[in-house]
Amino acid sequence: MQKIIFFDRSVNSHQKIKLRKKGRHLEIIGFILGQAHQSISVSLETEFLAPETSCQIDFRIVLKDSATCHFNGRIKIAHHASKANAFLNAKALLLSKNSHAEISPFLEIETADVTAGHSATLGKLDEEQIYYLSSRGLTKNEAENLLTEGFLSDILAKIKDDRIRRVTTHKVKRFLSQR
Amino acid sequence: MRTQSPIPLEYKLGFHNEITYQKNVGKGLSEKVVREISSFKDEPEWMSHSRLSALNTFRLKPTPTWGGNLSEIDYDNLTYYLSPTPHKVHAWKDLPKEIKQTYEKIGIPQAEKDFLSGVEAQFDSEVIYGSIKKKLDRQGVIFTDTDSALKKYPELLREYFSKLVPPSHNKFAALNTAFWSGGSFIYVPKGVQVSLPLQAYFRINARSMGQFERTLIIADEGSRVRYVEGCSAPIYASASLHAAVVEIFVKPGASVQYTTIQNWSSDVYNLVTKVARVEEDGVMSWLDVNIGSKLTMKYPSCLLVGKGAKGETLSLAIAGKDQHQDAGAKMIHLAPNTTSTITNKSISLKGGRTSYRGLLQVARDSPGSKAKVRCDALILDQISRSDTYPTMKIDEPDATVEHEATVSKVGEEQLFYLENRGLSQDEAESLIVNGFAQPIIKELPMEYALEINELIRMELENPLG
Repeated sequence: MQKIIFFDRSVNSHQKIKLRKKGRHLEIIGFILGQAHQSISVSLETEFLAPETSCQIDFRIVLKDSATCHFNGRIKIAHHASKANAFLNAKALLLSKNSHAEISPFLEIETADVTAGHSATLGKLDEEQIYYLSSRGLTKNEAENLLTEGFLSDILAKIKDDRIRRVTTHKVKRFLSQR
Repeated sequence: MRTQSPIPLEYKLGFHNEITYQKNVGKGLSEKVVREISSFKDEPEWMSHSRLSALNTFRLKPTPTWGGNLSEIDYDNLTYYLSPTPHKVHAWKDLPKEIKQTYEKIGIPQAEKDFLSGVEAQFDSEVIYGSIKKKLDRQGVIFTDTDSALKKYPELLREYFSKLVPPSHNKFAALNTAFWSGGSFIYVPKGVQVSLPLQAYFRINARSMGQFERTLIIADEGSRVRYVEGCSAPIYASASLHAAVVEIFVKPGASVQYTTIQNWSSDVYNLVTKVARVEEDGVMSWLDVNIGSKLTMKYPSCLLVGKGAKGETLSLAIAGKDQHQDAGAKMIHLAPNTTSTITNKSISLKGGRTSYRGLLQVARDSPGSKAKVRCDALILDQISRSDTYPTMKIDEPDATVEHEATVSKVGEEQLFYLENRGLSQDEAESLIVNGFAQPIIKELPMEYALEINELIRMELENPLG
């Protein structure tokens, strides 16, 4: 089962997900796209309360202008959730000197028989790729937009539901075109 | 009890001998105690003032609740220990059985046993120490205890004391600033490379295991120094609260490595503040091993203020029965092209809890900064716990930050493979856990590495904790 989380305006969101049934599997795909003076605060807590549960969380964060983002992703694996499997990945891209990102992926594990991990990366667009595209006739803006779309494309492709994927892609394009 | 201190030699007749006759200054941490300490040490007015002001800050600050459980600390019942050694007992027979057994098993030589059991006030290494001290003197290196430094180099000390960790930093830094005693003071002149790790020749320094040590290290431009403190053998301590502060100033092009091995007895609260300020092209390396104590809260930090500055923290935490190691690191990038790496390994077993807590901050206008954090945790049974609490705060788009953490148990396949090769399950598990910790252990001075490997093996073998 897949859950898509999408934020492109100021918000203070707190979500708690509890995996209570044995064997429950969940995939969460998240987009945090901030621009102007938006402040996007997202707190996502995933609690594993039964054996053989699993959850893969993949977030992409893109911030333009003076947008700020606070992202807290907490994974809690209870003592009786044996053979649980949890992974959180968060990748962030800051497009402006005035944007601010705060990312805190937390893990609280109370049993040995699990596999859990997280990774968080923050990077910038590859200068060489921007140069390459500019030399092919794109403006710097167009080049950056294209590369940012590329940054988001891998999780867009993971969305299984056709309609949701279409709508999400449209919202992403709209965000990118707003400059 | 003989209380000759080998460092500094000139202090044999001074303050140190007098302490032993002053048994205690009463319970509770009060202004009266602060004044007594300051007058007893015959300190300049600015230091007495600093202590009193810090006591006030300590009282105003609330006890933090975001980390380990500090709610049971009874501040009114803490006793300030003027004794130069941290020991509770003074005869081998009075030591708890587990501690004696550990000493036997990790193969501590008799001379060290005498010190560790409080029979001797310090490890007797006069001969070795003498020739090393001469060499350091020739190089212009100052290596003394902080009390002596206040007397001998007051202006130098005053220039740096409490500049990186003022009382306002946190409640326990304030406590330390009010009651500090002991600790090391090191100054390395420009361009001087100190070849031997300081304290390597003197593994057990009573002064460096005090209740509220205050250590300052100043590495002037282009210099290099390594410092090792602590003891892998468990220390049965009298004081139940240890709040040390370490401040390190790495000047341009200098390089400092600070290694700590902590194994306080399991009733001790170990709350330490360690901060280094690294200037242009300087390098600071923290190597932190936490094995003992009831609760340790310690986050060695690097403020990377000059361009090209580098910070590194390697840490290993092991939490057994009723222990909580809440440790990590902080790297703050405040200049362009700074780099930092944090490598943390933790092992929890028998109901112990390890928590990695870290901050990685890249301020605005620090383009070209690179930071990498890698945390791996091993949980060995169904009753233990492991947490990872990293935070990344980024204000600079032209930076590369990576953080990765994994939590796992000892792999079934690995165990099976080793057992197939003739190892018992215990031996196999011990080998795997040791292998897990090796990237950190191999960076330690050899004698510590050997002892810690042995400690890990013992911890795993003993099913009753």
